[in-house]
Amino acid sequence: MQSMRTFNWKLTFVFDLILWAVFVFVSGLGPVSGLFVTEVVMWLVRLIWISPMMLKFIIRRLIHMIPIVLAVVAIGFGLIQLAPGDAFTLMSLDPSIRPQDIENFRTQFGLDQPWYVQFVRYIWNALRGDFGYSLTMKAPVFTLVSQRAANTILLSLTSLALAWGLSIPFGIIAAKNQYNLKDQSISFFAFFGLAIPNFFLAFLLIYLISVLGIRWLPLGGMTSIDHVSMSRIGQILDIGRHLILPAIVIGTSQMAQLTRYMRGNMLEILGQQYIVTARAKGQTESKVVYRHALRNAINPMITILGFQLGAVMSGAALVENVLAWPGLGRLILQSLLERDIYMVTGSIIYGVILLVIGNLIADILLAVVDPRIRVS
Amino acid sequence: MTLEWEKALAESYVISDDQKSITYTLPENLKWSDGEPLTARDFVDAVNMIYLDEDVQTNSRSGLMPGGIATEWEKIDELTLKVTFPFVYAGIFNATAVAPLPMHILEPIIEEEGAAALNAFWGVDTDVQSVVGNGPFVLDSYTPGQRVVLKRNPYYFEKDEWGVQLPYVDEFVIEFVPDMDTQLQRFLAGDHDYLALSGDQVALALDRAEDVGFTLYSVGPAASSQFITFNQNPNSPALQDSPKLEWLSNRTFRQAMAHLIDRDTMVDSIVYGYGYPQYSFIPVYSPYYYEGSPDFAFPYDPETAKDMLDSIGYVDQNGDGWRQDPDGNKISLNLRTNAGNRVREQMGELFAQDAAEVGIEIVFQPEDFNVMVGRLLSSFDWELILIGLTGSVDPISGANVYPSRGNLHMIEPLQESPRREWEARVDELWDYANNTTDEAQRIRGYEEMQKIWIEEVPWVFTINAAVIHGYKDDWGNIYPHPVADNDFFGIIHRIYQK
Repeated sequence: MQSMRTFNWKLTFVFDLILWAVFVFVSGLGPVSGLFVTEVVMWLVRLIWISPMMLKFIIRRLIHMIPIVLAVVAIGFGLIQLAPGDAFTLMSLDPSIRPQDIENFRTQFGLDQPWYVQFVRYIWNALRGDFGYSLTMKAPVFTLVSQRAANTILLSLTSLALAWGLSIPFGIIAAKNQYNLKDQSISFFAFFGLAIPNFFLAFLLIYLISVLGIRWLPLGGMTSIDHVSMSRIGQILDIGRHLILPAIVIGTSQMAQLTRYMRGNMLEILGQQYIVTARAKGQTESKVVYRHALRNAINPMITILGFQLGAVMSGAALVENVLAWPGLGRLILQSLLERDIYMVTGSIIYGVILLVIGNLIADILLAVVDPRIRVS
Repeated sequence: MTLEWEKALAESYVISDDQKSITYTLPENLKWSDGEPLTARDFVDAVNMIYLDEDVQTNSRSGLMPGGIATEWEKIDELTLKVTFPFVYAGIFNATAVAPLPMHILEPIIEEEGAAALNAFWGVDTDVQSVVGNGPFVLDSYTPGQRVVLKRNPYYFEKDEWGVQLPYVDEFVIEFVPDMDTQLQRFLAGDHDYLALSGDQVALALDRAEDVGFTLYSVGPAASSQFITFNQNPNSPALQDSPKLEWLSNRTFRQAMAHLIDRDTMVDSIVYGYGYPQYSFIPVYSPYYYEGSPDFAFPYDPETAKDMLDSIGYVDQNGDGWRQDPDGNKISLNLRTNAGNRVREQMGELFAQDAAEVGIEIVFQPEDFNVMVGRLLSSFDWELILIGLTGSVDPISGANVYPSRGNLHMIEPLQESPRREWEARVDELWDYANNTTDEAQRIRGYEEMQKIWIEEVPWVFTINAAVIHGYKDDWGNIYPHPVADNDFFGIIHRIYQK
């Protein structure tokens, strides 16, 4: 124990470089994703010295994730079994395919077995790292999901940043100016954003851009046709340009909710006695609002962040479809319609893991931001 | 452009005297896109080792097995192959129009891992540069959910009349835009050079045609059919011990129903004028289409329908506005279709309205596609269904549909021997028209089959949507054709930039 306490954990940064090199040159990860994985692993290791409590907490949460994932997979499997037909039903109306060939396909994919056999088989394979094989796209589910996941994460994070970046100041302004014009107009936009369905807003914007002829704003997609031939910076700008429309669509609906929450929290805090005390002490208004009120008002928002990751993912499916964003939501929607059972289950697992990790991050943030909250 | 069979890769062919086999000769110097020679083994081994192997998932097997018996493929020499049929078969070109496969790549895989390994070969996770083909274009890159880029195949076999290597275009890009409205907006914004439009999009598009610079081509009726079919299967749980079986089996009743299909209104108000009335199971542009079909078919005529229903004693006995059968049962039937298909939903509603006018209750229930298919193919628990099938120039591909033994012979599928007299006649005519290579005999056979189909109303056809293609004016040699409904296949290799 003694040696551990004297060990300076800052020395572990040397291992970051080694691990990163191993990921990039041996496992063939990209430099950025390699760095990401390295940092996640290394910071978890560093927690041994910084905060063993936190490490225990994280490990416990990750272990809790296992039954959650299993339960969700079972529910997903059961639900899709309840839906009539399977991925090959559409084929059976094609006069040029023999019925015995279709039965053959079903046998090859194990669809002729009862659902519990399929389920146990799936779990067994998943434990060995095989997340199934897409019936319609003829490729491993894991490959297909990872092709799309980064796109969805990019879109989700951008729209979350947009929503948070705007809703917190808006919420503060609305609370500070309760019931006057500023508050009313912010509330109006918030309700407008809540009321208008995402996919409809997407259509509306596409139509407006097309009619107004705003050529620099692309009508959906994630990259331009000549994306491959652009310079590195050109490519980043190109994706950024394509991000604007979907991020606005998803961001506004999130923002609407968050602004209302933030306004409510802020109003409640501003009515507390310690705020009166602070004002009575003669502190400036900005110090009262930003130092004393804001830090307390923001705590409930961080709890929401965890859920929001999941909400953004599910809400993105329709927007991704309308705006041709090559994300996971679109893939799930398509495979659900095609009854591609392994594809759906694979995507569900992915979504659940993301949701649980999102909640975990929110909890950690909460502990960091609020000194009253301790993990245990 | 005609709809006759055209030689693609073959230099010549000879049909044997007994009409049972065909020998193809390939030209020299055919090459795959990787430069390897394309020879007779790429056809013969592809069929014998891959297409006919039960472990391989392919849509091509059925076509290679006329009457359920496999055709025999043999390689005579590097450039000659012979295909032998079990009997004289009209679809000799249909059955032999198979895509060759690059056996120099696939054969080692089959030897090592078995033919089933091919099911996972060249899936969407493949490096597309490694995919070898023999068409005008080969894959250059694939970005999941975004686009496929195709570049010219330097070894493509076709040259134009002036000896210039085809295709003219160096590269073309297919973008994946899942939503139809977004597709239209992107085409209207000038982002894309080609779009297949539906009738309701045409009016919107025409307004912008001049600004953007594109032309819309009305290519003709779609090959797919839409029809209402009448269940007459005595094994159906919906019809057993029910008077419904008797109504549906009554030919006069079905003919009266056929008089209620208001094709003109369907074309005008459901597909906005971009559609064609349909009367026969063979597409109008096929050489086997019976020209007299529109006159022979039952026209929209509710008055005649009423008289016919009166004549079989289906009259309104109690004055409630609905007809009863002679035993006093109110005539009420279920009509189903797949929910979400706007055109079919509106057609079903229109038919139900017209039926109500003459005192027949049609309860229209759109439902999930897979549920409907389950009723049609396995539970047989249905009364009327509005559905469609893909058609083709040569109706021979409907061997599972029209003969009574077929699994898609919807009124009563998979019959061991035909239950109805007219079905026996259709079965006979099917063999008469298809077990021959005499075109005149085929046309005679199909003409009588089409007449029987119209007269007996196992199903009654409604309308075909018009196929409408939009091309930007920057491109030349645009001659769209109706065969492959929504595609530029068959013209893409000759398109050039003006």
